[in-house]
Amino acid sequence: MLFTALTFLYPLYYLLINSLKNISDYYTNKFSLPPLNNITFDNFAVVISQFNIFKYFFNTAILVIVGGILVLMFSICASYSFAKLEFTGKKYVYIGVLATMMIPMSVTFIPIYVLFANLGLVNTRLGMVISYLGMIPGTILLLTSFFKNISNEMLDAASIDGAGYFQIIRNVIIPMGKPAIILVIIFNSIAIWNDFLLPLIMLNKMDLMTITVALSLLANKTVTTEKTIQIAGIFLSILPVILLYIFLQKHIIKGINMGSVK
Amino acid sequence: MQRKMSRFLVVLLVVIFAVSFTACGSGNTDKSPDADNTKSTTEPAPVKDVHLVLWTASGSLVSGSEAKLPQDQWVLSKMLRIFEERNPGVTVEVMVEPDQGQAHQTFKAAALAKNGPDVVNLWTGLYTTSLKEAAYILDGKVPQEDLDNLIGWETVREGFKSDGSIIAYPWGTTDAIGIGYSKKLINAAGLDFEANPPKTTAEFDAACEKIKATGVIPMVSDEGSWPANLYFIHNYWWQQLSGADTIAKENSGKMKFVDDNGLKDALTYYQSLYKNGYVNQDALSSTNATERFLTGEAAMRYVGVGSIPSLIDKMGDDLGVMPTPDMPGAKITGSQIGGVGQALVIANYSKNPEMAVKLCSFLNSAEFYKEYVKVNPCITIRKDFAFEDTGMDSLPIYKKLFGMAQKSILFTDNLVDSDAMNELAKQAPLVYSGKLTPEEALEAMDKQIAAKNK
Amino acid sequence: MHSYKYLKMNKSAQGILSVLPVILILIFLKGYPFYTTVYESFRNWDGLFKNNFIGLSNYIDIFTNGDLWTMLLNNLVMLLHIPLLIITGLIFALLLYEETYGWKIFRSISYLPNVISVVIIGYLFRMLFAPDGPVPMVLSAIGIDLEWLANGWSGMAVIIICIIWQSMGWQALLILGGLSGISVSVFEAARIDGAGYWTRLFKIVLPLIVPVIEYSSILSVLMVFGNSFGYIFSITRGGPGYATTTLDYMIYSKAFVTGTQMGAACAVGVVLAVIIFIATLIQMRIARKTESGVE
Repeated sequence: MLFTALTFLYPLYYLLINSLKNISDYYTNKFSLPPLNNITFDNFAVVISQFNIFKYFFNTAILVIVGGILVLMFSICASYSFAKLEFTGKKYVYIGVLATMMIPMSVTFIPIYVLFANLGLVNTRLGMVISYLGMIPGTILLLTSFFKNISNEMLDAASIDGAGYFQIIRNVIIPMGKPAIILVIIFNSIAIWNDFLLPLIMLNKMDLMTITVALSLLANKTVTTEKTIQIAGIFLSILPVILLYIFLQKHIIKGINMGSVK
Repeated sequence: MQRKMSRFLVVLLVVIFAVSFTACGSGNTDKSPDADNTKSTTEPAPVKDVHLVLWTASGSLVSGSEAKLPQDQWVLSKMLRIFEERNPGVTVEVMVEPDQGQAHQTFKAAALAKNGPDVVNLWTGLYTTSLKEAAYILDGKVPQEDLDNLIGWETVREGFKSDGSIIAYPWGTTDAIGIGYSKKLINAAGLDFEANPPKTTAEFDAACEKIKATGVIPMVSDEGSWPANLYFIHNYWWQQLSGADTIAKENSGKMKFVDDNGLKDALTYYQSLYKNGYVNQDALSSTNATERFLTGEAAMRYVGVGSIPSLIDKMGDDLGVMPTPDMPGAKITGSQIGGVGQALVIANYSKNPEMAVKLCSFLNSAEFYKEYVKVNPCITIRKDFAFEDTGMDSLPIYKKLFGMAQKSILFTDNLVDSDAMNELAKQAPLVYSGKLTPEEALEAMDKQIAAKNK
Repeated sequence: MHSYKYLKMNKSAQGILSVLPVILILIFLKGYPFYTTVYESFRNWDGLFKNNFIGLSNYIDIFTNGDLWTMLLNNLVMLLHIPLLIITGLIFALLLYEETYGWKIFRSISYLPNVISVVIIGYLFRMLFAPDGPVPMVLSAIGIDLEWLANGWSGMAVIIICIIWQSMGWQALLILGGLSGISVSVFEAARIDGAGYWTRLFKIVLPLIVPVIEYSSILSVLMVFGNSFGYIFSITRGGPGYATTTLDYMIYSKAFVTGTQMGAACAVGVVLAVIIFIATLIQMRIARKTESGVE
């Protein structure tokens, strides 16, 4: 088991050792550890100072935070409604919302691009954030099934105490729905951070670019042909995600099963 | 409850702030800020606040070597500040596309929305002329001295005729794509390309045999590095056998690619190079042609003017260059692929087309190019620049390339309909490795043209 | 308190208003674009100003031109990763369940690739399988010489290996979750009845984790048809030729690489949407059948 785990991690190990080599050592032998007297951090230096990788981290982080908050706001309200409130046609609306999940990005991104161009939203952070609102159906799916399990007694008690709509959400739904909400935040953040197609076509400006698009620039040899620099860039970009994962493992692993057991 | 309500309001306000923060971080493609116009000048400047947006790509107005540097250190940025000083009230904003191929598409969408850059840097030939409906036609708007001093106008004219409508400004460098070789390895095979380069493909085959016998790969190629990839190799032969007129007919569907013998022969010969082992057998997916050329595993590699500096760094005087050998029956000989590749298109929705013309003229001025060649030695498109003005060291190899560049014929892919060309580019590796016959590739190209003429 | 009476609307109104913003957003982000795609699929839009009605011409082309079937085939080949994924996921889930040595570490590590961007993993694998990368070098030491990215089938293999590497953790943990839901008393009873390990596995465990497998396969199918773009773009760019191009990569290719056949690209998009819809329906029907079969 341990052995499998290590082989599983091999690709990442490969990245790490090669990012520390200078280019001629890389050509000599791609598998070996860097010669101990020649470990170089130059590749990382180039990636940070010249290629300015932190700027792209920042850009992506802004999208994650703002997009995440907006998606959360809309989804919590809607999920609360689907889970606990009744109104005519609720079932059909719910199915309709979930059905939009079946329309893949590749089918809609051409018109979305033209639509956004018409509205002047291309190459704006606002436009990008709006397009991430498309994560709402998936979020609703997860949250609704969890919210359904919130005991109705708590809700009734709050109502009797005279709580209005927003109070109920703040005082009952959110605290009781915390596990699912945390999960949704984590999953959505990872998805936005890793997204590629949307930023590729919507954010062309150098200073707005996200990390995934910037990396494809790096890998595309228009910036550098030195493989070691590319490798260093790839490694650095994965680092935040890996760190985040290590800290949040527990929640993530717990949450994978949430959507499946119905 | 009051507290809770106000807490909610606070959250709402924070979110609104966050959203407006992101909105502020957006690009000002359609607003006209005037933040920089605090300089006072003595010139009578009647120009109101004019904001121009310029799209370019790395490897073009921003040279490859500069791309790693922060934006304000680019030659382009410095020269634009000078332009702004000379034209008070004008600010120019630069956006760099990661992928210039894609820029053509995003510009189209911008043209539809009438909302995008004022000047966009695209590729010459059909790439630009097919966008005629979105471009600001330059007939009568170009200063005479630019028409006289720059080469490459026919690449941006409709139909490539000398009296066609001018769709865009040419820009930048003229290239020459030739075969680079290691003199040492060539001599080891008993040949001397300096004195006696193979001029025909038959001679080339013979030479490759000799080189192969010494245990070295004659020519190395891969699927990534420009122009070492397989892309241009057959294009020159196609053009020299069939001519640009045939290509024009094929574009409009008046002639079919399957009937184009020139292209067929070019592809067949191209296939034979691989079959005879004159090119590395893993050319389809390898990514290390340069490595192999530098470490002496291979004797030849396709090079362009831009590839030379890094190669010379490692190889010094061992590097030589020669034109592509000619195929039998060629109409044009002794030349190679190259020509002017970059163009500056002014959008027809631009609110300030005259200023945009001024900008394009400035970007083509002698003073701009003088600064540009300091960081990126190249053969500019200015007729009044001699070899000494190219910034290239006076090495014989550079002088040879300079001479070759004067005789280049335009990149074939700029002449061919983009869908058909894309199809050829996709199928060429399959033809090369023998998995597809030339006829099948040509049929695929015809299908693309047929699909468009609906 | 009286000032907040307006908040105490009846529950039904609250319900509707909660979902209204979401409905509007979805109409804007998905409904309208989808409508536009369908609309343009009947026209010969070239990305600029040419835009005339041409009826079913695009669709006829798609179905008579051989390419559709090649791409569909590629999509189907990609679907092959699903059984492989389930099997490897199952094996590891069982190992984790039995708490074999090092299981905690493996549990953490196995999900890690799933949080990394698809594009990055694609580039990584491209490097690993390139002619000068580790995999061919190791393989040639044992005599296998293969240029992975030069052939359609081997390119597909790299993509599938990449998908499995990235998703295996997710699959294993899902199954593990399902396994944990089986109460231990069931196993006890079976063991008392004399059932061996393999019998327990096939007769008890597998039927009970069927819902989990359904859930994950629906998502995997959706991914293959709708979201494989990232993998293809970073590993093979659809090549060589069109050998690894799937339907949704084709849309990107037609629309963003040459960009003059937008109408045709939209038609492919509509075909893709219909296929996804049918595939999902089929899966749900199978799901319902097996569920009732289990009971």
